[in-house]
Amino acid sequence: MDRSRGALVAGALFCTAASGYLVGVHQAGGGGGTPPRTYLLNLNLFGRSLHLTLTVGTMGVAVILMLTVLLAVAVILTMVASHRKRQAEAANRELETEIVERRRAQEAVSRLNAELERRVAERTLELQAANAELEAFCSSVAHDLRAPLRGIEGFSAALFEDCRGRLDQHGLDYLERIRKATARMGQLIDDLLALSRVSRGELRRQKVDLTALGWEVVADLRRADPERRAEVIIADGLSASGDLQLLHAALENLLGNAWKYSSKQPQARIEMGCRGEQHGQTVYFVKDNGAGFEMKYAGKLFKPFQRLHSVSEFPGAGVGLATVQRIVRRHGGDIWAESGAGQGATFYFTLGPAADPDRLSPAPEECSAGNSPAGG
Amino acid sequence: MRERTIVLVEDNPDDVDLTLRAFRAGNIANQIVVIRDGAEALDYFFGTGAYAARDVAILPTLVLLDLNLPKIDGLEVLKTLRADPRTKRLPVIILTTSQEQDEVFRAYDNGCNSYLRKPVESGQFRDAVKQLGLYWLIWNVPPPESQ
Repeated sequence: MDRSRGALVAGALFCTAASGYLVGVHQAGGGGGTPPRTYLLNLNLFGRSLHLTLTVGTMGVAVILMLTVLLAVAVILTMVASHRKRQAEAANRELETEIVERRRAQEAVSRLNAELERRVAERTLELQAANAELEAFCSSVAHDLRAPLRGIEGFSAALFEDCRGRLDQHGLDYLERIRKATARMGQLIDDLLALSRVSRGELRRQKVDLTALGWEVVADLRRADPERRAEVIIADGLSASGDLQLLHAALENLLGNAWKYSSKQPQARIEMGCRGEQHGQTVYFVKDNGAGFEMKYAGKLFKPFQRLHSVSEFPGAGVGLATVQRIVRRHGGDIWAESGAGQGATFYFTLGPAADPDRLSPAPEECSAGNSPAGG
Repeated sequence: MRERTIVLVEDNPDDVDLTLRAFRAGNIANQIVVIRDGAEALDYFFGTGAYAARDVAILPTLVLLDLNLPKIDGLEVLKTLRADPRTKRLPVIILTTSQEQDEVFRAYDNGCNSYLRKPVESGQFRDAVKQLGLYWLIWNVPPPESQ
């Protein structure tokens, strides 16, 4: 850059420095042809006066003129070149500014990223605090709500036992209602706590034998209700990758519902199996031939405390399916149902992409080889 | 020396009455000492405060300990009992409302002998207390008195 500026300055200086003027012309003698002329030149070169006496012919004048023209062209070219150079420099400067700006923008982005990460960390901490608070709240609900309830229950039982003789039929009936309501509220608190429990804590995935787990749940149901006759079919070889405790709770609710809602059938039939895959996830199902529900109410099924049957028809708080939905969603799966009033119900669920599907879930042939119901 | 007493550490008077009632219904005639908070419980076991005159060498047969107690909570009482050579083997049964996993873990981690959740239904509660009395007062072999 400096060099080109130097050349430009030199050219300009030369132009002014080399300015000179013709002092006089002397033409000698006559004769044929063009006679030579003597030019007296007073040149001012770089501040110094230079007096020249040139004797030249016409050709000489032409040469000098040409040289002058060449000099002028050279000067013009130099000026054009330097102009271009200036333009290029300006462009360069612009580019540099742009680079600086980009660097600044990049810095701003990384600063914002860092800020974002800090905020995420902050929010995570807040969330953890909120979770801890929720846990404390649940624990206090468990303690504080159940304690007075036990008082109500215990003393109405005491009243019944100790003062039975002094109460008429109405009084005894009221007492009985108090106790039933209390028991129901106790159950409600327990269900609510169970619902909140499935959303807390860590999900510990392991290989779970769903067939064995299903039979375990059914055995509990039979123990609790030994009079009940129901045909139960659970497909062999059902397995999944999931949290054992949570899956146990899910099957307890699903099979428990099937058990409950088929209780009025003379030949109750409950079935658990799997029906191939959907989006790479094994689809499991629990099916019963019980009361079922109208599909237009299906949207209410998985909302807590929403029931499709009256408590007198089928007891319950309406928390079970909400619990199951939370469990399968925590596993990355989903749950949906198919039914019709009086036509039984089938609940389908997935448990998310298995860590090792080949090993953890049954092969599709296994599912379709007679274990899956035709309908679905 | 061991009295055949049961110590019930419970702050809720309703629960105290219902527990005593359940003991009566289960024909458990042992003397029952009722203590209302955790600080009082420690005073009782270590002969301090209001129990300065008590002979601490006399241990109860069984302690029924609630977790949610005023002043010093049940878990803290349990830890203190386990840390002291005089009471480290004393049979302590947690009798509480909560069944939160963490609380059950903490109770066992700190050396409770059993964990009982008070059922809301009074019949079940009575059954539980009766069986508990039968098992711990009759069948269970207590830790020998010399250390």
